[in-house]
Amino acid sequence: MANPTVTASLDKATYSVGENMILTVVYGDADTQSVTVTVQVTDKSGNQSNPQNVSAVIDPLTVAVTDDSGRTWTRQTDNGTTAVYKAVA
Amino acid sequence: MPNVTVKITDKAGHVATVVKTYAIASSVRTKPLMGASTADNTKFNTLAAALSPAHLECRRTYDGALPTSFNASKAFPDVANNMVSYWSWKPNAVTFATDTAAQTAFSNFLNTVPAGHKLNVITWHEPEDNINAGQFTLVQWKAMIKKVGEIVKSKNRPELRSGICLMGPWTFDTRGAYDLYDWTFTAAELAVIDFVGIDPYRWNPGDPSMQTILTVKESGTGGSATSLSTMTKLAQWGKPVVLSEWGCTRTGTTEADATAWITATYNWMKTWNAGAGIDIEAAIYFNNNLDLATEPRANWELTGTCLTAFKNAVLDANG
Repeated sequence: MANPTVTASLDKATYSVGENMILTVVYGDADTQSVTVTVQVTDKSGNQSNPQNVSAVIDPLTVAVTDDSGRTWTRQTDNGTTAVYKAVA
Repeated sequence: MPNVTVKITDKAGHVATVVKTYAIASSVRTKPLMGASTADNTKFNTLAAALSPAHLECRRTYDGALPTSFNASKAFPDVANNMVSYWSWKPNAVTFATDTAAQTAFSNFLNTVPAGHKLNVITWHEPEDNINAGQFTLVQWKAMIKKVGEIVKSKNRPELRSGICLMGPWTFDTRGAYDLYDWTFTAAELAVIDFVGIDPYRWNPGDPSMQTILTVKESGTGGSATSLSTMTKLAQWGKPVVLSEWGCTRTGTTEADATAWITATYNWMKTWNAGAGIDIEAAIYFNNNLDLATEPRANWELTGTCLTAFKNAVLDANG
């Protein structure tokens, strides 16, 4: 099992009080894969059901963001590899 | 500076973390926020008009019991006047830390503060005499301060802050009784205290400069080998300082002398803030004449050239 990787960047180094802060997180794991299993049932007579797709993610990742100043970072978007969070300075 | 930590975890428990540090531009300028406190709105508006075009940047008010909403508080006019509020109140210091109903009421009160309005909550200012009189204990006061701070922090609104207010120089003066109190704070308490207020005055005509009162031990008189000056003591907590009241007695001082003292106080605050260490984030002049026959020194009203000196200081702070 591979270790996950992560990088993060803030849109600014210094913020004014009350200003929005944007944190962009890029993350991944070599083990993480999306798989789709298709199930189709066939009887003795050769009749087939419609195929049904079932999706699963192998070794999914969870992202946790904490702040030692007590600010709350709220997730704005997350496509599975890049997540964007926002907090108020 | 604050740190934000991102932690990625997979199903097997493998973890990747990254920490980013950011800075919040200090709300503390080299120039302190200049404000005032008066007996009522009428007197405040009179002072504000006399100072125009200088703009008072903050105001101290006191409500005592918790108002039904921020609109009903004495600090409410600060919103329209574009002033930072330093607002005092006095809940039951004995029970607040365990009184969930009182805590909920305070939480609900905070919810009524308009978004973006800067409100600095000061709970049970100058508790020294009350503790000494047995009204509540220092432990109870600290527990109340911690609970209030936790409620303020729970709002996740940086414009809402919580602080304490002590007498100041006399609190740490060995000639009084209060220097023996345990003024240490736990990390959990300090985490929810945003600022420390003190109320230093030139109470006696012969008192030295504000700089000396605050930076020389024993209220500026020197003396004790063991005590610390007010600013040295406050630096131990690492919080910005608010002169939540300050003033120069107008009894027994000449107008020229009082004017020079006020000007020197403002100039020293700027110099102090330009140096290393804790900053004075605001200075709120106690513009009142208590008109007490038994205590004629209790007159700090700004008139004549004293008013002009204060106006010049506010103008400079505005700039």
